[in-house]
Amino acid sequence: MSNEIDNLDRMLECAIREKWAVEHMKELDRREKKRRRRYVRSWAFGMAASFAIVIGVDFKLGHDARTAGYAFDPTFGQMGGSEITALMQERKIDEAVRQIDIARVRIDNEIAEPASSDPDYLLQLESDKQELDLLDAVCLMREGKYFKAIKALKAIVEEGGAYKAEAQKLLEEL
Amino acid sequence: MIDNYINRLIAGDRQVFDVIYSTFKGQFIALFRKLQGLGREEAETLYHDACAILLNNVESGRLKRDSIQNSQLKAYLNNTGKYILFNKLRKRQVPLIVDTDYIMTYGDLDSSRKQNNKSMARDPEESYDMEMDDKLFIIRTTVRDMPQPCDQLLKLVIYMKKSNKEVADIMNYANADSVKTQRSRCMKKLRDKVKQRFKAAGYEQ
Repeated sequence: MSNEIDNLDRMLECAIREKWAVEHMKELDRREKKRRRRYVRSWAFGMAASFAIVIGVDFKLGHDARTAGYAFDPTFGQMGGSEITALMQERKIDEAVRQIDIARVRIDNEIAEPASSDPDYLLQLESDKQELDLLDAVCLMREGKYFKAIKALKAIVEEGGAYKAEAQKLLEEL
Repeated sequence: MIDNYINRLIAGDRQVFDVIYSTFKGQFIALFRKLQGLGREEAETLYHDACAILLNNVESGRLKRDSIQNSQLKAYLNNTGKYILFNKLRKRQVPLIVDTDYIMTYGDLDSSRKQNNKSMARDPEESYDMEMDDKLFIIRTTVRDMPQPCDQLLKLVIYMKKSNKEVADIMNYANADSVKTQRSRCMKKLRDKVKQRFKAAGYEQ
């Protein structure tokens, strides 16, 4: 009789243990799911916040570049009064960039096969080329392309030459 | 050196149960979802049952120190899961404790059947006991429906292994002896209820 009670008691204890072990494991699962949800939410929030910051910064930098670009007078140099600067004054930036590319090709061809061997003539060609680079950089600024403009201006500064000072000034404004 | 989990469980370290649970859960769920086509919730329930059997085997003394190494725990739990699933598919109750040797040699019942090699896995059909099945059902439902304060008290004493003094503090009993008395009363109530239901089911004691 007591043997039967013992057996039954043991089974009851096992059943009680089983019941609460399962409850405990379900609680572990609930906590894990909650933790995972929180992690996904923080990750998503972090991504959204980073994205918003990047968009905001990009917008601000673009705005700054445009402001500095339009404050710059492109007619100061040798090409003042040319079709390129006229297009820039009229805010026809795409067309101005196209003309700059055409002029660049022409000057490169002239540098490759100069019409005259006069050193002053060759220097003038180099100077014209650098002025085109500067005008191109200003067009990038007016289009809000902050990083590309910085890269172009740095290249002019590193090269040295007649328009280094103007390029440096623009870099400082950015 | 990582301690043997079973030894720690036998020594009363309950936190290691959580470690075992989380360590082997992922692969267990993946295995049963892949091989048996179970849904995620079904596989989780199966895992809960397998871990509960492991705990009962430890607490009842069936699992001795160093009987299962950490590297064997995965196979142990997976085989227990297969055994439970087999019983559930036949609408049978799973025993509260299971023989460890039986579990470790349970093997892949599906592949053994395909190979028509029944000796690879012991067929549970041989040991099916309908009376025990009914009694297990009665025991589980009676425990499930246990009223307070017995439910809480027995949880603290049996599952959480709190001392009588600790239980007295938690449940505002006068002293440890009160807890001891109340525990005996609760077990007697439970026992009587179960016997009553056994009798109603036609199983005279």
